[in-house]
Amino acid sequence: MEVIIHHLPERNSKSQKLSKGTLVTQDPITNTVILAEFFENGDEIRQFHLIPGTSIEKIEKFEENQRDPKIFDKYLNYEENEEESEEEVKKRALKIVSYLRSHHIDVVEKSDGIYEISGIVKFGKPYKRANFYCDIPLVLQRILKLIDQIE
Amino acid sequence: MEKTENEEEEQRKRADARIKYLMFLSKLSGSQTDIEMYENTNVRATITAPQANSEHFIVSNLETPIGKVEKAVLRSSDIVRITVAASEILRNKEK
Repeated sequence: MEVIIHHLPERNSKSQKLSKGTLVTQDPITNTVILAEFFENGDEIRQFHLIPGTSIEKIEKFEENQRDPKIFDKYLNYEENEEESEEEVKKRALKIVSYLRSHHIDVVEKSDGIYEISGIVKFGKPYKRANFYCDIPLVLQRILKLIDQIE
Repeated sequence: MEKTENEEEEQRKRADARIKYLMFLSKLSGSQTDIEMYENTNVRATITAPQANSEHFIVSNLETPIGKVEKAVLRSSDIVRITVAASEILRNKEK
């Protein structure tokens, strides 16, 4: 979807700044918008714009286009959840839990299939690398390094 | 209270949007960017890391109209737009 972002007008400026591009995502918490600007041929992305929510007055839909949303996934390593059986997903979770526990790392199963590692790292379905969350980047990095060693 | 299907779908969309945003932020780290700030101030900097709540950006090699600063913290509320080349994001994807 092509959008036009109307930035908040500045006190000493007569004209209002606009940003135009294809909407990649808008963060629901900070309202920050990520736009993609394509080359003339329309196939490749030239650059991205990150627009803080505090800078946005209005978002206007410009036109609906037929861009394949997967083109952004290529840049973000973002994978949609594939169709996997519950059994396969559970098996992956148990493999990770077993591996971590064999390394004397405390893992506790919470509700809704969420696991908690040492009380600070959480991971949920489908238990892939992208599903690990922690507020401390260094800790997350170390846990992911361990996870990457699992065959 | 049971969630309706619409509420669950809405929550899933919000979660997907948040994940995409966070993934973009992680790819932004290490990228050289052009930053437009208020009062017609344009700077260039390498994004070191965004703050978890996105209120600040830690940058290095900040090139301002009056000189270069090795390390700095920029407030999101002072920023109009950050522009980064797609090639920079792809380069960081390999890391």
